[in-house]
Amino acid sequence: MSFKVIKANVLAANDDVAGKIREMLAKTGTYMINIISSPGAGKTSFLEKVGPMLRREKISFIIVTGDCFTSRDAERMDKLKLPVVQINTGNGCHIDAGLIKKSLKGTDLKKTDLVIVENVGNLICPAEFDVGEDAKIAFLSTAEGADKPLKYPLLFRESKLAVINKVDLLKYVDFNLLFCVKNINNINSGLKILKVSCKTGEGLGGFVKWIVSEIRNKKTRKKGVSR
Amino acid sequence: MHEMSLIQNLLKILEKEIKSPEIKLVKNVRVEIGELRHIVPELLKFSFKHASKSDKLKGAKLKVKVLPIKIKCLKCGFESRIRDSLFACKKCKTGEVKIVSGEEFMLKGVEW
Ligand SMILES: Nc1nc2c(ncn2[C@@H]2O[C@H](COP(=O)(O)OP(=O)(O)OP(=O)(O)O)[C@@H](O)[C@H]2O)c(=O)[nH]1
Ligand SMILES: [Mg+2]
Ligand SMILES: [Zn+2]
Repeated sequence: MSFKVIKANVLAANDDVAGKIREMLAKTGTYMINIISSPGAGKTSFLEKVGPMLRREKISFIIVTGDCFTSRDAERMDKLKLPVVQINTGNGCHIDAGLIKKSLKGTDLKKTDLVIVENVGNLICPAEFDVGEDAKIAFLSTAEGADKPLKYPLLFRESKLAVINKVDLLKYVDFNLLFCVKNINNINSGLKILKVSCKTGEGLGGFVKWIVSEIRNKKTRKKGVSR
Repeated sequence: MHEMSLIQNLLKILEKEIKSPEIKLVKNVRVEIGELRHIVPELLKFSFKHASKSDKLKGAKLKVKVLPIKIKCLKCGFESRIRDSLFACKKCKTGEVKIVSGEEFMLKGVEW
């Protein structure tokens, strides 16, 4: 038998585009987050609540939302006059870097502080495809099992923030918050964890504080480089 | 399906790698996948089998090797294998570690 030895990263094409996006965002000092969760954890609800709060902080942002077949999420956010770009991923189970690059074409990044990606509801594929973000956000809810982090460690390893949503439901569901937090710490000891409710608004201020400081840090770094 | 989209990415690279006329009908395609990637080897093989491919690849089999999760301690340098979702150094217990294996998805070679 003849053979050829190859050593190629199968996702290299995606990673290259992600690298280009990262460079682009570094130039304009724009921060990008990539929100990843199971279906229905509350990503769109979160953005509906947090969007107006960011606006009050004078942060200019754009939301990119991925959906397999509908544009329901984009319509919900459009109703609140939040700036949103819709990506239809069709049969794809995630947003890849090429889709993000295309969707940012019409955006003046120089005037944008923050790009928010609402990924397709799914915990596996989106965690694997780098889209050029500064931070992945692992987004959970108390309506799911507290063992999610154990089942999907890659996402929690790669994220910079974990959000546990629907804490208003804690009194009704058997969600063991301590167990969940302990497992997140075991997987990624430095990961910041926020507990929030999109229904009552609890904890959302903590997120705004975090993102404002992340954006500020990136802009300071950019100044440092261009000097 | 997750495995299907990964196979599409694999095929893009693979088809380029086997262009040379020296390579005849491919028998085996070898890939390595990190355990952290949640890939089911059987599903990956199934997706490979049913994806549309060039004639050279029509009869090829996908050989999958799964690589274990390994971390390296940033404090003492010790390498440990992870089996239990506890990403901490087995020697000094710190959580300040980096992953050295378990995240890969590599095309390693072809046989014909
Ligand atoms: N009780 C409660 N319900 C919530 C909360 N956040 C979201 N929900 C509800 O959860 C359901 C799903 O919320 P969405 O915001 O559509 O979730 P999503 O993650 O965007 O869903 P996909 O985009 O389909 O993956 C809706 O019925 C929301 O009203 C919360 O904090 N508490
Ligand atoms: Mg949504
Ligand atoms: Zn150590």
